[in-house]
Amino acid sequence: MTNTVLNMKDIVKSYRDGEAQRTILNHVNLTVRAGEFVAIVGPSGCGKSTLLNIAGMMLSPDSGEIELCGQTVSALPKKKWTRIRKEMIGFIFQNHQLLPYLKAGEQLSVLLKCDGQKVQELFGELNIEHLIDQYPARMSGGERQRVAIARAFASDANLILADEPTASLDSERGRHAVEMIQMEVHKRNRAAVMVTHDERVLDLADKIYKMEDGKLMES
Amino acid sequence: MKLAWKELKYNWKKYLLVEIIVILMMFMVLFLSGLVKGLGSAVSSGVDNMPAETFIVSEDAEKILTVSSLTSDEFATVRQVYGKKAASIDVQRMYIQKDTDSDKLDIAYFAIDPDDFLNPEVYQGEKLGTDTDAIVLDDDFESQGIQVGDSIVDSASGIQLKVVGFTKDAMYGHISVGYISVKTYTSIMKALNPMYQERVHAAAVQSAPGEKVDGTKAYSKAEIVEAIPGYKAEQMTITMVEWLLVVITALIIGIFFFVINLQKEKEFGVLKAVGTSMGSLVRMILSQVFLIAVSGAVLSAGLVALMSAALPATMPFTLLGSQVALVLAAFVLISILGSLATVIRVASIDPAQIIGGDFQ
Ligand SMILES: Nc1ncnc2c1ncn2[C@@H]1O[C@H](COP(=O)(O)OP(=O)(O)OP(=O)(O)O)[C@@H](O)[C@H]1O
Ligand SMILES: [Mg+2]
Repeated sequence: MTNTVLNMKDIVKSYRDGEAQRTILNHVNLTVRAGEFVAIVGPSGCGKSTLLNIAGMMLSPDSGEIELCGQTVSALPKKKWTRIRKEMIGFIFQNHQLLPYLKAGEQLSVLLKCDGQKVQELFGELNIEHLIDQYPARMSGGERQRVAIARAFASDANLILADEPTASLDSERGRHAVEMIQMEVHKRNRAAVMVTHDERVLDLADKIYKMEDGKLMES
Repeated sequence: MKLAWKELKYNWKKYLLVEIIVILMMFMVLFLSGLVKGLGSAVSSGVDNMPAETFIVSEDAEKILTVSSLTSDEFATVRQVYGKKAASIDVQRMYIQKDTDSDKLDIAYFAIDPDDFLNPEVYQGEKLGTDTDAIVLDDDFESQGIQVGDSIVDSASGIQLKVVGFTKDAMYGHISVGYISVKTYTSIMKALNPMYQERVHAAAVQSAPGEKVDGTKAYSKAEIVEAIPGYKAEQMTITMVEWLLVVITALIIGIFFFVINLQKEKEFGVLKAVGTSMGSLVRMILSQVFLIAVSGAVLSAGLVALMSAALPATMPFTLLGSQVALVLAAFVLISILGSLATVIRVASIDPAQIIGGDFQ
């Protein structure tokens, strides 16, 4: 399968820094196909999270075009973005960001209307079946991040975005979490973009991009 | 909605605290509401419950029945205009005693013609008849130990009155009413003042004001009630406190929700990021406020009803269903309006903060 899920063309984003205008993303292009697991690395402050926010329909670029599954979504009014996020994008955040008042299973079923069978299946694949009826407060950090991974894959979203998913985990658990993401991406034929600082998990990615001076380069 | 409920359940301690405060405050509000009605009827029920629409008093009486005085001629003219739809009424504050050496009790004599429509229904004993020196008392006197068949003494004149029956809800200016015939009234007044000239205080009329009678003025029942000394001041003060409390309670809910939701900004950010529409978030917040407000309203109403049943009958406390419903509905409405501050706040949360932003 070679169909393109995410296609970012000529993305420019700059922030006002006092008087000056700082260009964070300088004509960035990024294409991710279904079943492809992409990692982005780069120094702190170079704009990785900004890129992810733009890909995730949470921030608008100054110029450039974003296509999701062939649909040009950057042209849509902001009002429709929430809907696009719900239907097309799964997020994995740095700090799991589970809702404290929902049990692990409910993070998928109540929040994303994922049916019970799929919840079972995902939790089984990620080895966390025993946590389905547990509140996040009573899980370990690694377990929470795995529930968060399950949540990202719970909807039928074709694009998975992960910003430093291992940052709050030790290296062993972090690697394990990324393995889980990789497995689900390949198994479910999703497209995934992961921003990371952790060099040791890069071997799990299909493609690695380096970000520097507002440019994205494959390495 | 499921989300709203799960959140309430998970943070039940916080919300229980809010709920308890709401219940106590609304209890206070409803208590005041019962008191305002109770005091109101302690002042006015004697007039309120008269089957009359209009009262005719002398021009200089300032709508006050005890001050008004119609000459026999004037009352005769009133009778000519309204016929049997007009009845005379005398209102006089005096004292009675159970017997000559017991304590004096306040009483407001309502002197009427027993054949007129003003003769009150009794729930015990008999209606006031034409017998002289018979009296029908408000039920307050029953709880003071007076019974049908007893003889009581008019303190000033020493005239013995025979209790023939008890009626309900007859108070005038915080004093319980005793109905006597005009004949009895005249004999009491004559005993006090041999020069007493027969006259009537006012006339009660069963219809709207008709042709004006010289020297008199016609007022609606509501106007007469409002003019009873103390009525307006009492009602206004307590009603104001009551509504102030309603607004304060609603604001307290609003503020609590604002603070509780401030602590949840990250959660709202996540909800927005994963595609929860603002509409659902608004519904989530409003349904929580609605639930807290409505359950608080219902529980406090239940508490007040229980307390009202336990209060002694002499306590001026009357719960009026419609009044309670009005207060509670206003409270729920203001609470929801107050929570709009929270909604506006949540609307301004930027989900982009959740990736690489402030919410780490
Ligand atoms: N809302 C904003 N307003 C102004 N400047 C911003 C804003 N958001 C980000 N920036 C700037 O844009 C640059 C890129 O930020 P970004 O969060 O994308 O970096 P990053 O590559 O994710 O860094 P890190 O690895 O530390 O997470 C930073 O220098 C930051 O100061
Ligand atoms: Mg970042």
